[in-house]
Amino acid sequence: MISALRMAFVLVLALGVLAAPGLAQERPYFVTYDHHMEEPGNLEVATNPVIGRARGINTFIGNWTEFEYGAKGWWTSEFYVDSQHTLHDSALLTGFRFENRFRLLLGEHRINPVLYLEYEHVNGADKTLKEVVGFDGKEGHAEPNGEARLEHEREFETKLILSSQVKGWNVSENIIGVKNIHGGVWEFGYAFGVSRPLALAASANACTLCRENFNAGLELYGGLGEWGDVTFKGTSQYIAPVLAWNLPSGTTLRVSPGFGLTDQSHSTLIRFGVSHEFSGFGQQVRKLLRRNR
Amino acid sequence: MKRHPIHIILTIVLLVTAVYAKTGAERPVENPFQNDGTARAAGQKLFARHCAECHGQAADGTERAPSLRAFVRSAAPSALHTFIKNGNLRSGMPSWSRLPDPQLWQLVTYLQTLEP
Repeated sequence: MISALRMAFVLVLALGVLAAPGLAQERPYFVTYDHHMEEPGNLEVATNPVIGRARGINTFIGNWTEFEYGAKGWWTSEFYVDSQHTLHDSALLTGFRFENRFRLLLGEHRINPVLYLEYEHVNGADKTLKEVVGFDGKEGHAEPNGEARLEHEREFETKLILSSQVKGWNVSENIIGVKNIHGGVWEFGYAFGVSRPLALAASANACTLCRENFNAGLELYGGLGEWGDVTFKGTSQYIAPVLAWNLPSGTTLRVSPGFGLTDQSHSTLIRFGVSHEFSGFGQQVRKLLRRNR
Repeated sequence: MKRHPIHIILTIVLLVTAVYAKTGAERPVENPFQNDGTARAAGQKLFARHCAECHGQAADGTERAPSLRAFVRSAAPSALHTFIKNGNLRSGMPSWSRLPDPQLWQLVTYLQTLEP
């Protein structure tokens, strides 16, 4: 775990040398996706810890580290590495995910659909709660890491992302379907997010704490049962206010205290996020490769 | 008859979608910040933040994207606003619809003061 963190630190330093910081406006959500893609050639590196607490299970910190690259204006690719640490237990890497998002309509419309396709290879100890599907619940996180890690899941995940911008507000809905490649039925989930910058017009002066740099909103997410049993009954449901602060340096800080709404949910899920965008990363890599030819 | 909760949720989602889809059609065609000095300064700041990495600090182009000086002054403000908002995803110009409309108009105000 520590060596993985060291590697991530060295990688971030190397990226800092390779590319200039970018200054994009990041979405405030942790679970919900909107239709905004990564700018072509830019790389965003982010880490997103989540602290989960519930009665009867050990408190844990799940984390996903993500590398998001803008392949084209309409295509964004992401690679995730998941890890977790459970109090009174152990810390471990729990797997990886590879995801691609495709904008289905190139222009800006009232409702903008995006197709999300993901392959994930994680073990049963994964506690990132990046999405909640099927009958996922706190009981699944009660198992000791030593046993849970032996269970391997290779899953294919799809999302239909519908997102709109209305008078400064972003409204996004995600419909999620997950299928284990080796068997089992489709599990379903959803995420809904609404957010808005605290000021719609920018101020004339350079500033760090001005309202336009803050984006606040709310997320709702949870499971919807599975194929043949689509229901809310027995599922986990969460409500989570979100706040993002886009610093002029290109770094975005995010926080979201989430609250479980059903007996199966964790009582609290507190999420933090730090991301930094590197502009022109793709061009720099291409230049480097050309020079070495 | 007891309604299934999924039906209720789907109905709410459809209603919300219909309401905001309708309101999304409204868009001013006049630049509300035309010749506004403060908006120009804000637009310059937004340009430095979001656009200069590709188009250059002086908007005269880089190897990633072309100069803007040749056409922004003569372009209709609403056309410029629409272009920035939609981008040209095929050619690599990203959509900036994530910026609220007032910020897009501030950018237009700044761009239209650039000398060719």
